[in-house]
Parts: sequence; C-alpha cells; structure tokens
Amino acid sequence: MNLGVFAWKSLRRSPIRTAFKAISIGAITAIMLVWGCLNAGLGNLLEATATSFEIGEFQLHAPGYLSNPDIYATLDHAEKWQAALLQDGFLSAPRLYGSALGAASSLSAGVQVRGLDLEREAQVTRIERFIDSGSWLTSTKPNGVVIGKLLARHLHLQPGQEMVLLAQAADGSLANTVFLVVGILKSVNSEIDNRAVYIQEAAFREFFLIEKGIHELAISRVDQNQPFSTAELRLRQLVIKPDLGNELKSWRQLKPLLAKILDLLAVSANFIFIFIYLALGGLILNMTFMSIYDRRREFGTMQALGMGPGQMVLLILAEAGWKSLLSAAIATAIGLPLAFYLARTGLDLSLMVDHLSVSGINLEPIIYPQITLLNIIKPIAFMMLSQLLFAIFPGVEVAVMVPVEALSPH
Amino acid sequence: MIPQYTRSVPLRSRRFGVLLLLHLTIASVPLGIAKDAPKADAEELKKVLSGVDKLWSSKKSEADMTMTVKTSHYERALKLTLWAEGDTQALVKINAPAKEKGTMTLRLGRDIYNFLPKIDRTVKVSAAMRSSSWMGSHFSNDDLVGSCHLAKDYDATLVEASKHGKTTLWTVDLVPKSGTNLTWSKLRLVVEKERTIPISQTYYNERGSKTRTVTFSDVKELGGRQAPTKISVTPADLPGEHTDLVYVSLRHDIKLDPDFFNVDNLKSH
Repeated sequence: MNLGVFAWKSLRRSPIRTAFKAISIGAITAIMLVWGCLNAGLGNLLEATATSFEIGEFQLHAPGYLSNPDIYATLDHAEKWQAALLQDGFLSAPRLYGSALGAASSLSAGVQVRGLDLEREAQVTRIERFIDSGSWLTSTKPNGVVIGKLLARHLHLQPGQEMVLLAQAADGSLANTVFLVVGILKSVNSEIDNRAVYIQEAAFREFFLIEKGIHELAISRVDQNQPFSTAELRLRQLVIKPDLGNELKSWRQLKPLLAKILDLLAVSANFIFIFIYLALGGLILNMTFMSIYDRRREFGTMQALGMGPGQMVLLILAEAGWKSLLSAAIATAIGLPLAFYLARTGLDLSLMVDHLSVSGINLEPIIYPQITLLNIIKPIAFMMLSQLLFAIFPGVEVAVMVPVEALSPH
Repeated sequence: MIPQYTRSVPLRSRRFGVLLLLHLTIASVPLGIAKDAPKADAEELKKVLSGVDKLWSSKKSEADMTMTVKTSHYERALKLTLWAEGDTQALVKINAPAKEKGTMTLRLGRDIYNFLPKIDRTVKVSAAMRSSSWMGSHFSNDDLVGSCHLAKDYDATLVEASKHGKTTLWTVDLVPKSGTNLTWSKLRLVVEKERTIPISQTYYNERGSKTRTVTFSDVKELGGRQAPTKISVTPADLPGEHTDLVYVSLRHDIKLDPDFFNVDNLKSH
C-alpha cells in the first residue's frame, strides 16, 4: 500500500488525537500568521510615515546643502530636472527652506519656513492629509500657513489667527510679514511639530526674496512596484553629474536609524518565527513520542510483517506531513479571516498607548496588517518544516524497534 | 550692540552691537600676569582696562552712525540712530534704506524687541533666535544683550608689550571669571596703553578657535572724547566678509523721556 495512504488511515484511526494536534498547532500558526502581517504592517507604517509625510523616497540637493543648509545653496533649473525625472518615471516636488522667527501676540519661537509647490507636493507626499485642525494650504489663500502641532500650542495659535514671520531675507534685509494660520498639523515628528511653518512657494520667494532655485527636490517612483534599488540606480544615472556635484539621498540614507529599525524588524521577525517553532517542536516531539509508545505493538507488527526501517521512518514522516497539512488548513481558516478583518479595521493600540513614536517619527497608534503571499506562506512553511523535522527523531526510534520487544506485553 | 556703539564714545551703553563687543573686549578687570610675559603692575593693567571700559560710557547718549555689511551674497548700507541709557536700555532706529526705514530694535535688560513699521507690529525676539544675525550684519542679537563688565567679569593677563614710537601697545588675554555666563572662552585685546584706546579684539569660542576679530580705527574726538569712530567686525570663517560701523556724531547726557525705552511707545519714535 502507498505509505501516504497508509499514514492517512493511521491518523483516521485516532481522529480526536489527530484533531487536537492539528487544531492546537494550527491555532498557534494562525496567531503567527496574523502577527507576521502586523509586524510587516508596522514596518510599512514607519516607512510610509517617513516618506509620505516628509521625505519622499529620494531627495536631491545642491552640493553641501544637507551638511550646511544655507539659504543660498540652491539647485538651479528645477523645472528642467522635474521634466526629465517625469520622463523617466519619477514624480518630484520642489521645496524651499528658511529660518525665521514666528510670533503671535507677545510670544515668539524659532521656526523653519517650508515653501511648497502645492500641486507637485501632493504627487510626492501626503502631508496635506495630516491636518489636525483647519485645512491645508490652498491657492485661494496665498498668505496662509500651516504649522506644527507643538508650535501652535507654544504660540497659542488656532486656525484663523495671525502669525508674524520675521527673518533675514536673501539680500540681508529684514523680511517681515503677517500670515494667516489656516491649519495645524497632527503630530508628525519632533522637528515638524516644534518648528515647521508651511507656506506656498510663491509666498516663500516673496518673503525671503529668492527669485530662482530650490533647496530640495523630493522624488518618488511613479510605479511603486518598480524595485527600489533599480529605481535608485536609474535615478543616480539621471541626476548625478560630476560637473554639478548634486547630492542624491534615498530615504534610507536620510533616515538611517529608521532604516536600521526596519531591517531589524524584518530580521527579528524571522528569529521570532524560529524560536516559536523550536518551542512548538518540543511539543510536537512530545506528542509524537507519546503516540509512538501508544502504538508500539502496531509498529512491531508492521516490522514483523516485513516493513523495513526506512519505510517506518517514511511512515512517521508521512503522518507528520498529513498533520502539518491539516494544521496549515486550520491556520489559514483562522488566521486569514482575522488578518483581513484587522486590515479593514486596524489594530487600535490607543487603549494601551497614547501615541507611538519610533526614531523620532510619531505614528498613529493603529496598525494595519500587511497581507502578502509571503506573509501568509512564511509562518505556515515554518510550521510544516518544523513538524517534519521534529518527526525524524521519533521516526528513527520506530525504525530501530526490535519487533519481538515491541510485541512483548512487558 | 550697534546701538551701544552709537551711543557712546563716551558711550555708556556698552551692549548694543559694536559697543558691546568693544566693552566685552575691553572691560575686564584684573589681572594675572603671565610667566615670561612683560611685567605689568596689576593696578596699572586694571587702570588701562577700566579706561577702555569707560571709553564708551555715558548716562544718556544719542549717536548717529552708518553700518555697511559686505558678505559673499550681498552688500548693504544702513543709517542708524542709537539711544542708550545706562547699561540695560538701548534703542536703535533704522533711517535708511527706505525699505527698512522706521524699523527699530529695543533692548530692555535681556529682552529684545523689534518694531516693524511695515506690518505695524512689535515682536519679541525669542531666546532661540539670539544667535542669528542682526539686520544682516555680522552682529548677532546676542551681541545686543550680552552685557558684561570686562573689569568685573574677566581675568586679565598681559601677554605682550611693545613700543611703537611714543606709544605702548599691550596685548591682553581676557578669560571669563568662573561663575560668569559669557559666550566667549577668551578675548585677546590689543590696546594703546597711554590713551587706553583699543586697537583690536579677537574672540575665541569654547573650543579655543578664533571666531571673529573686531578692529577699532579712525580715532577722533567724538562727544568730547578721543575714541575710535570706526569699528569693523571680521568673522574668522568667512574670509572677505565684514561689517563696518562708523560714528557720524555722538551726543552725551541728553534728555530722554522716562518712557522713551518703553516697548509700547516704539511706534511714536
């Protein structure tokens, strides 16, 4: 008889024991499946928060600007760069930065003024969706500003109130203008929360007296399925010219600590899988040995009837294979619906923590699982592999049984 | 700082702008004398430093001055009027260029306010902005409020003495006394001993690196005293850049309304 069929019939002879094993291992695997998806979702949330709300996927600067953000260190011909990038499958948004004093009534604070092209910025980041109160900048309110949450709190500002900006313009003169606060951002990160004042590009140029050039070009892929490394390579070929000395940085280079945390998340997930399934292996080993000792007369009879040691090992492995398939089915039946449910509602941690902050980036305390084929297959594959591996030793134990001793009532 | 300079020549308010710088440089007191250095009587060194300190001192003063700024990105010239009273109150008003005419900076104790006529607002300068440039010059807002009395706040050491004709030039190192909260780790002052007129003052940061040099020149009678009428600041890390402050006139012991240095009255000046 085929060993696989033989193994299946053996399992069916003890349906309760088989079901108990499959359900218990399947439930653990379902939990691991959901956890793996949530872990990947946390990584996505971190990356998306960093890139979508502030950095973009890449940034292009004039030489030396990042180490010394001088208002005069501008990239020229921004329009030309943007057109060339679009042709090669990249969206880009120009940005301008300047330091200023922000004041309201008798209060004041040092701020960073960020001049944006609203239309292009919306193509690269989603900062406009991160409004806590009021609204985002619009072309109908050219003197509108959107400010960080803690800055608003410090200056006691609400949407609809006036804010004075005072700075040194590019010609050395004293720039000063009254702006209207139209919106206040949610908490993004400490730099934006405490210092950011977003204004429109035209207002920035008029305020700081900068006619041309930009300080930063934030870039992202049009096709998000294009591999990041391939896109980075293509981008470098496109924008890095020896005669210009421009500096291109990916978000991983701009936020190295965050990149390391994400790498660590991915690696630690694998380690956790291994540790969990090693622990599970102990359980499997124990259950299999118990099963073997219960069935030693059965195995002795099989050997007495002519089954060789190799066949005995294969039988035990086949039984383990069937059990792992049952566990996989149960894990999928429990884990997938739960993961899809959480993908719709999110896992709200706000009852446990006020806010999540990782590497200076503030996150909404709601994690959405990332459901991918890999995230589904990985915990199931780990489980099946550990079931098979931990069945080898019991299989060998069965193979080396002496039939006479196995059949002995003592 | 700038205001102070304006005020004095016998400028009393040392703190504004250049004045402050000068004062910082000048004013320290007392003296340890370096080994292998020229011998100087402690009292004599103290007398010279106090003389420099008093050079810009006056109860109430008014000064007209010009400030020219040259950087690698722009050049600008401003006409200023400075009023000062004591060591803690000063007001600088910009008279030219037209774009910035009427802009004022008021120093009250350690607080700084800017009156901005274009938007008709008065803004208090936060502590975070103290290190930023004042009016695009090489003076910072901190220079405006960094009041110190060199004689009281610094330990002085005579480093070198040299004879140039009838004039004796002393090089004096000034180190803040412990317990003082001063920006600079050391000042090196070159001073004309006989007339107690400063020639130059070099500033060093906490790492001991030179950060800027202030030179004093064009000694003339101003407000009844012999004093340098041109003060130039040269940052160490920006070659070719400098800010020059020149006294046009100076009047001492003028009358000022009791509310002259009031933040609520800036609009009326």
